[in-house]
Amino acid sequence: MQLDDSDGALDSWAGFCALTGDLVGGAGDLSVGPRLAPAVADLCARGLATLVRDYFLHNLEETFKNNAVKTFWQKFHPYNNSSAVERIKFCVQESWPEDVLSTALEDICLEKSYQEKCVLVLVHTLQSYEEKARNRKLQAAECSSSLMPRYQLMVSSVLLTTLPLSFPEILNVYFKKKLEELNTLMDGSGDNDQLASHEFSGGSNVSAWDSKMDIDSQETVISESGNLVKNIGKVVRDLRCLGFTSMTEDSYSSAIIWLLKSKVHELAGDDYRIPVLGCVKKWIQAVPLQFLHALLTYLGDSVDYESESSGLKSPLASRPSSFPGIGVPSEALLRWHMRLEYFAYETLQDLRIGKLFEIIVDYPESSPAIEDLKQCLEYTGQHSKLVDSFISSLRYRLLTAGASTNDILHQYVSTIKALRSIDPTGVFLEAVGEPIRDYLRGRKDTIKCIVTMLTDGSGGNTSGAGNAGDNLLEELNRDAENQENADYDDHTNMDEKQAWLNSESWEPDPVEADPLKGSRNRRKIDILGLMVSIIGSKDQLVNEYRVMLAEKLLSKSDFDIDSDIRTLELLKIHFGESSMQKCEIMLNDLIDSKRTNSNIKTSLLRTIETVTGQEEAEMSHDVLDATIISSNFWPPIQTEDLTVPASVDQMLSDFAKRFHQIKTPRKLLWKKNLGTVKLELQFEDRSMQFTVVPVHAAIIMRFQENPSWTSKTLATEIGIPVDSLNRRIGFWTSKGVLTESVGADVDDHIFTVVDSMSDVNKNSIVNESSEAFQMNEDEGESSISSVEEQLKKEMTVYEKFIIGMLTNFGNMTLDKIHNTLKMFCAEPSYDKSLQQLQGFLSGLVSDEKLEMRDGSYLLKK
Amino acid sequence: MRAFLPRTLALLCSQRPGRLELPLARMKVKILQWHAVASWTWDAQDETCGICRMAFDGCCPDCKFPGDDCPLIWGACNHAFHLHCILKWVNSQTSTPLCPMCRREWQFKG
Amino acid sequence: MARGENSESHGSGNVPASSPAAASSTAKQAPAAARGAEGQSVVRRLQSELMALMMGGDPGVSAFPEGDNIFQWIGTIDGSAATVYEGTSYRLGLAFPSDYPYKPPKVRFETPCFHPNVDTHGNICLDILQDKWSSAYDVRTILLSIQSLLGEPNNDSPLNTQAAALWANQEEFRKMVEKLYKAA
Repeated sequence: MQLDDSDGALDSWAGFCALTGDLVGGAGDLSVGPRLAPAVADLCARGLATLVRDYFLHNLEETFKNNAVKTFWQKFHPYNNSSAVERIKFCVQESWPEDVLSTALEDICLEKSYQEKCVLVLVHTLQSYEEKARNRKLQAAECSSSLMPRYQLMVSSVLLTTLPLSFPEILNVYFKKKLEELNTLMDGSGDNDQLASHEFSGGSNVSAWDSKMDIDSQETVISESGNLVKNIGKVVRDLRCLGFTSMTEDSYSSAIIWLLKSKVHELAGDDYRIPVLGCVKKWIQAVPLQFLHALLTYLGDSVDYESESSGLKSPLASRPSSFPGIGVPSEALLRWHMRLEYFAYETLQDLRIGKLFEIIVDYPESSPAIEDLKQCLEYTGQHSKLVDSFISSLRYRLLTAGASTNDILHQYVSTIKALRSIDPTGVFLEAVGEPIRDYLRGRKDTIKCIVTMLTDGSGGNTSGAGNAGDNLLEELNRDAENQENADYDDHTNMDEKQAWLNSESWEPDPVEADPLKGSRNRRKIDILGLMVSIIGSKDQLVNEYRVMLAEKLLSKSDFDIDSDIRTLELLKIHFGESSMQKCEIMLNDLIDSKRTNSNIKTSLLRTIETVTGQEEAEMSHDVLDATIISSNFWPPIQTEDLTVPASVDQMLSDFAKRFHQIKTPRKLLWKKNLGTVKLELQFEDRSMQFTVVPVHAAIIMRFQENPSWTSKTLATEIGIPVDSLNRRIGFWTSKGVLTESVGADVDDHIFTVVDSMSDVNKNSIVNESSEAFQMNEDEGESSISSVEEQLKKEMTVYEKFIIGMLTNFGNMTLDKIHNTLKMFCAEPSYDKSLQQLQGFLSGLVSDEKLEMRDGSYLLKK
Repeated sequence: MRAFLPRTLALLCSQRPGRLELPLARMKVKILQWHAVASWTWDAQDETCGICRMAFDGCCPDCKFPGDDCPLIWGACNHAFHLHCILKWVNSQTSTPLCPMCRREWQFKG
Repeated sequence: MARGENSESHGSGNVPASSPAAASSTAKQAPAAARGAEGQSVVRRLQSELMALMMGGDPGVSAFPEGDNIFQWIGTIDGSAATVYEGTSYRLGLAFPSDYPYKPPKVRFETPCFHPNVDTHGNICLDILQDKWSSAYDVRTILLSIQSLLGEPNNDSPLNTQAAALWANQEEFRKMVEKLYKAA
């Protein structure tokens, strides 16, 4: 049948247009469909199939755009036209944007589904024509199959080109609100899960999946939230249907991420004593993954994913694990799981890093937070973030004039401990520690504080763990032992750490070190080594320790040195026996003294018994104890003259005589200003006990003979300068025992015993009948030469050595002088840096003792 | 009775003439413990041992602790040495040992 | 020269301290031999001597360990005023044995020295470095002894007979001292 009649064509076209108009514009009337067939067939036969399709689509588009789309966007107009502030008011409404969104979507989708039916009408018409044409082996353009895809494309492009800017925002708000709702629902019913997850402290993903959760209760939660998810699913499906697939996914993704973030913040909080990583992971499975699972299932996606991916299985899909209440998860869900966990790790990590300073202050109570952080960093690998942030908070908060050296040191030690567990290689610790060390080097009291912290029972342990009264050294030693035990389990880890420590703190073994013991001991340096590196050399530390030990031992009133012996043993382990030799002798002196004291006292008492009834000493020798020191091995001790009362002097000389008898030919030399005296002042109506230094005792004892003394006479009697007396006697006036008045001579004060209660009350200073006084409290001066004084002495020695070597070698370079001093200057041992030496030599050059020529130093002739 | 006696005596003895203006000075000081400090010395004429150059009040280079562990010894010539040092010297001499200080024949002071 | 090395040709009270070869080999062996406890005490004694020497500051004598070996020292002696050696300064080498101070160090001149008791190798003939050694001597007393030996030679048993013969003529002797000293 040949169709060459153009009028017929025009008729068919007119008919087709009219019918299309009826169909597309008609209110749900599909009955015109069958009538469309002849016109379409005629037009197709004339080769106008594409025209038919395009006209039809165009017609649909116009209708869709002018009706459905316009109404759809109009529903969001009130929000779109609002200011930012007004928009917030929308968001606060409970049903917004859920109601608007779902009705609008429902309407437009209804319209769309009608149009789809129209499209199908044409598709069928075209198909039946194409079939006939094929049967007759006629050529015909294939238009039916492309019609539906073209229609879908048209829908989404119409919507996207008319999309108001705020639509993605509306979607965001919607998903956020829905997810929050879901979260509250899950939280409310999942209280027992929350509890369970507190016990659960991190761990691998697998164990999280395997952890026993009450599946039944999970399912109830799901059924309760089922409607909610179904509603969301419906919205998502509608949105996808309209071509908003990726926009929708972005929206709920960012809502999930947002919710996750606020959940992490909520769980983490400012309490560092509870691990939160486990809770976060549990929550991820309990809320967002359950939601996604339900959503994907509702949308039919998860099934698709699984069947699709069965061909090319990713390593993720092959994981033999299942989510509680979900079963074997789809690959999409696994991806989500990974993504959410990574985000959780990163969020928690950032949160903890921001508060790392506080966390370390609380260490070791905060170790759960540190453990969390460690896991996060292992996952994200963002250690450098930690270093940068922590250093800047250190500078801002710790390394300031206001912080005490002790605080800084404690924070330093806590930092070492905390970071050591995060980063066993120590690389980051090194980076973080350097600014602290630098800062501490600039402080004068650093050595003293370090030594106190290391050796003082109360000093090292304010931060918690360990037995009360332990010093840092004890703790370090325990640490080292634990580490050595742990060593067996974790060889690679230890080796790495050891390698770092070795390279970091390497120094040649002391000549006398036992090569067999070396490496084992070196292992224990760790924190101590880092502390020593602040000071620069162990000799300085040992010297400071010796000075402090001397002060402590000389002010003791007993011979109990068990804790000091223990400390010394630990120091020997760390610094080598020969470094601690002098300290060992000092302690040995106390042990010897105890023995000698009891020998002498026994023999003295025996003697007195034999002469009983003849001449009784005023004081029993029982009250005398003596610490007898090998002064060569003690730091220089300042001795002051002091005339003690005759009775005491008698006692001392009896003791010394007996010592000479027992230890011939050794003799005792009393250092009368040193020691401690416990005494009781007895008044008619009261008595008071004091522990004082000998000079205080000597002063107050004089007031037994005479209730009033002028400072000049008393000073002469006691054998000390008047200004010294005036300072020392202040102790007794401050205790209300003596009163001071100005005599005839303005410079000569008169001191009088306050000998009755009523007088004391006038002064109202002392009201205790017995009072212990820590000696040296108000002294301000120490009988031991300070390290600084010793330092001055050292420099003189170095100068003599330098002159000596230049006398014999002519000229020497800086390096050579440095090395030679290191080699041969043994006492005091030379421990200066090259820079320090250079400065010192420049001083000698400007003093015209040396000159410098061609980079070498020589003696100035 | 006997044990009581010393205490009374002590009280009597303490009432020495100089302190008889008791009504004025009613305060008494009772020493409960006097913990004194002293250093010991060998009391040799020299500071250091002529052999090892270490202080007499220190110890010879082979000893760890001074005092009882590393005693001094005097020769008939009155020169003192660390016992360990002079023994080494005496043993190192092939002929009659002399005092390193005065070259008189070395004999330990009895 | 041959006489200098042959100690048997001299009386026991006047022998050269050591031959150069012996001195150097001892120096090398000493530290190795000194590693034990014995060695430690020698090191300590030498360290305390060094300290005393540095802090004492005797004019005209000085010494210091050479290189990294405390058993080998370099000494410096200035000729005393009012002697023919006035204005000169001599370097000496001191090698300490591992049983020092029970045995004397080997001492010799490194700077050529025209002296009746010093041979051309620098070997010194001084009784306290030989049989009259006492462990009470030390580097300081050795150096001071050598310093005084310069001004008061023992011409009865010379190592350098020419010098011993010339000693009577102090003016000529002075010239020889200067000649040898300036040649160095």
